[in-house]
Amino acid sequence: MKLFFRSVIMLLITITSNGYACSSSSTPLLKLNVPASLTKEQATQQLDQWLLSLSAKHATNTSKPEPTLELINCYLTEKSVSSPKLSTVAPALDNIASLIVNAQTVEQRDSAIISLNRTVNRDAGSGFVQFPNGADSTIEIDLYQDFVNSICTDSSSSACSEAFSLAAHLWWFAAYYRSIPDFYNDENIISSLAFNDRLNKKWLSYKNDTILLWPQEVLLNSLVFKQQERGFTKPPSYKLLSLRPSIGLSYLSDQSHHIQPTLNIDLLGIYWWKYGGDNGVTAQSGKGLATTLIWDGSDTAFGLTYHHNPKWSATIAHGKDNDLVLSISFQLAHWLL
Amino acid sequence: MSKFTLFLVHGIGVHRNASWADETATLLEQAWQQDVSISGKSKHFNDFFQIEPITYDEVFEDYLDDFSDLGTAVFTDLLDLNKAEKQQLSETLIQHDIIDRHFLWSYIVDVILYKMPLVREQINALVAKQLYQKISQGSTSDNFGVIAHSLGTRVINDTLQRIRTEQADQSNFYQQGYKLKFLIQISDVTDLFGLPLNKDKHPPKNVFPRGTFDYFRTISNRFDPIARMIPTRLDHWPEGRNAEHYMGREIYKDILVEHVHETNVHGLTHYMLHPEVTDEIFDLCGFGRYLSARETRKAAFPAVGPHVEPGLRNALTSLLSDAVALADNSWQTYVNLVIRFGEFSSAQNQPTTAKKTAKKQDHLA
Repeated sequence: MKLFFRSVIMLLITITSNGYACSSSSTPLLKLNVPASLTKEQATQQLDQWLLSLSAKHATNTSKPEPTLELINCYLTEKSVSSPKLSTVAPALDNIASLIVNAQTVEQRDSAIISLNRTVNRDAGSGFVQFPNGADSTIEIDLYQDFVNSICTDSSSSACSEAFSLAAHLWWFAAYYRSIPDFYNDENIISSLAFNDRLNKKWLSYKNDTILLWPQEVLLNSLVFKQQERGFTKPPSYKLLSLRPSIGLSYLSDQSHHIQPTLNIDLLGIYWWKYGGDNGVTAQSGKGLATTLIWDGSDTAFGLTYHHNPKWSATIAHGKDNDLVLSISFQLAHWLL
Repeated sequence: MSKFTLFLVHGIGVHRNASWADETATLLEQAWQQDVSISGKSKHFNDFFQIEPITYDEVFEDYLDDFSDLGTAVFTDLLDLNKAEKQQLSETLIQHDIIDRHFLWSYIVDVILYKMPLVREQINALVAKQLYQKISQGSTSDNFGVIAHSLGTRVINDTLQRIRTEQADQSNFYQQGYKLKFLIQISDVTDLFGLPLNKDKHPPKNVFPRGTFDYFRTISNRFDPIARMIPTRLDHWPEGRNAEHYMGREIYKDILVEHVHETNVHGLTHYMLHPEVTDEIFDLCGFGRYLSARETRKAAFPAVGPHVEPGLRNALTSLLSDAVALADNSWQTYVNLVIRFGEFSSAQNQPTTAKKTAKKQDHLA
C-alpha cells in the first residue's frame, strides 16, 4: 500500500512539475520559496514551519472567494490526473464551494456551510488534512506520511521539494476552504451578537427589575420553568411567590393600638409583567396577587395581597382576633439596598 | 499568523472577573517556555496563544446578593448585637478565614443554584455570549479550544448544547462555519447532575466529537475527591465514537494523574502543574512535535510536591506504593488517603491538618 501510494505521488509530481496547466492560473497560488531540491529532514522542517501558519483569513486580497477557488480547483484537477485520492477531492470541494457561493436562500447557504464545516478540516499537531471525496464521505490525508516520508530520502531531490510543495498546498487549501464562510457571515454575526445581547439583558431584567426571589422561590420557579428542547430559552414573564416574608405596617381593627408593625408572609402567589423598552428586553413593573398570612405578635390573620409593583403591596385580611386587617408592606430590599 | 484561542471556563468558588485565569495562564506560559522548543521562530507564548477566560460566577453572586439583601432587609433588627459584639464577630470571621460573606455559599450553593433551570439558562446565555463575542472576531479557519474545570465542565456542555441547536443567526457558530478543535474537561462533573435520582433531565445530547469539537479529553487526579465522584459516561455520544481515531489522533482520551503538590488538589492550577496536562494541551493545539522529552518529563515529575510537609509526604508515598489501596475509584482512594494519614497522625501524635499544610505552603510560597 505504501509503495503504491509512493508510486502515485511520484507520478503525480512528475506530471505536474511544470506548474499550473489551467490558462487562468498563470500566477502560482502560494509563494513558498522552496529550494529546487530538498532532503527528507529539510522537507520535514519546512512542513513543520508551514503548519504553524494557523489562519487563512485575508490570505488573498479578493473580496470574493471565486477567483481563488477557481485556482484551487484548477490545481487539484491537474494534480488529480494521476492521483485517485485527489481525483475525488477536487469535484467534491468544488461542489461544496458552488453550493455556498451560488446559494439562492439563507437556508441553502447555511446547509452548505454545515457540510463544509463537517468535511474540511486540518490538524497542525497530527499533520492531517481532511477533505470531502464524495457524497457524505471524507478522506484524511497525512501530510507527513503520505508525502514527505513517502517521497523524500536523506539525499536531496526535486521530487522531495515537489512533495513538500503539494503538502503545503493541501494544508493551505484546507485552511482557505474553511475560511469561505467568512465571506458570507457578516449578517449572521451581527444578528447573533444582537441576539446574545438581547437574551442576556432580558435575563438580567427578569432577575433584577421585577420582584426579587427568595431561595425557595427560585426553586419553585425552576420546577415550573419549561426549557425549550432546542436552542436558548427566554426568561418567563412571571414569578411564583411562596413563603415570602416582609415587614408590614397594619391597621388592626380590634386592637387597642390600631396601627402596629406586623410580619406578612405571602403563602402562595404570582407576579407578572410584560417586557418592553428598547428591543423588548426590559421587564415592566408588573402586578401580583398572593394569599397572605399576617402576624402581629400574638394573632394571625389570613387574606389577599395585591402587589402594586416590586416595591410595595397592600393586604386585606381577616383573623380570629381582628375582623379586619389592612396592611401595607414594603419590599425593603428595593428601598434600602 | 493567527493565534490559537484557548477558552478557560472556571468551576465553583469565587471568580468575580477575568483575572481568575491569570494564575492558570501564567502556569501555561511557564510550561510553554520550559517544555516547547521551536527553532527559527519567536517562542513567545503570546505570539501563539490568546487566553480568553469565561466568567459566569456573577450570576451566582447576584442571586446570593439577593438572598442576603432580602434577609438583611427583613431580619436586620432581629440580630440585636451591640458594637463590641459586632467587633468580636468580625474578628472571629477573619480569624477563621471567613472574611467573605459568600465564602461558604460560593462553594456549596453554586452547584445547587446551577441545578435550577432558571439559573442554568441565564448562565448558559452568558457563557454563550462571551464565547461568541470572541469566536466571531476570528476566521472560521482559526483554531479554538476549551479547557473547562469542575462545574465549568457541565456549564460548557450545556452551553454548547444550546448553541448547537440554535439558528445560524442566533449564535450557532457551527452553522456559521466555526468549530472547536477540542474540549478538555478537568475534574469532570458532567454526569454528576444526574444525582440524586440518577436521572439527568437535560443531558447535553448533541454535544459530542466531530460535530461539536474534534477531540475530547477528561483529566482527573487520583487524589481529587471531586473528580470521578461520578465517572464520565459519555452515554449521549454515538456508540463507539469514544474508541475512534480522527485525523491521526484518539478522539477521546482519559488522563489520570497522581500528584499532590498543593492542599487544593481539585484546583485548576494544581492540575496545570503536571506536565502531562500541559503537554496534552499544547499537543492538541498543534505543537506536539515541539515538545521536548515528553515521556522523560512525565516520568520525572514528582508525585508529592516539594512543599508538602513530611508527615503527609510519608503517608502519600506509602499510599502511592500500595496497589491495593489505590483503587480506581477516586473517592475510595481519597478515603484511603484519609485513613492512612489518620493512622500516621495518630501514631506520631501530631495534630497535622489540611489547614496547617495550607498555611505552611502559603508561607513557603
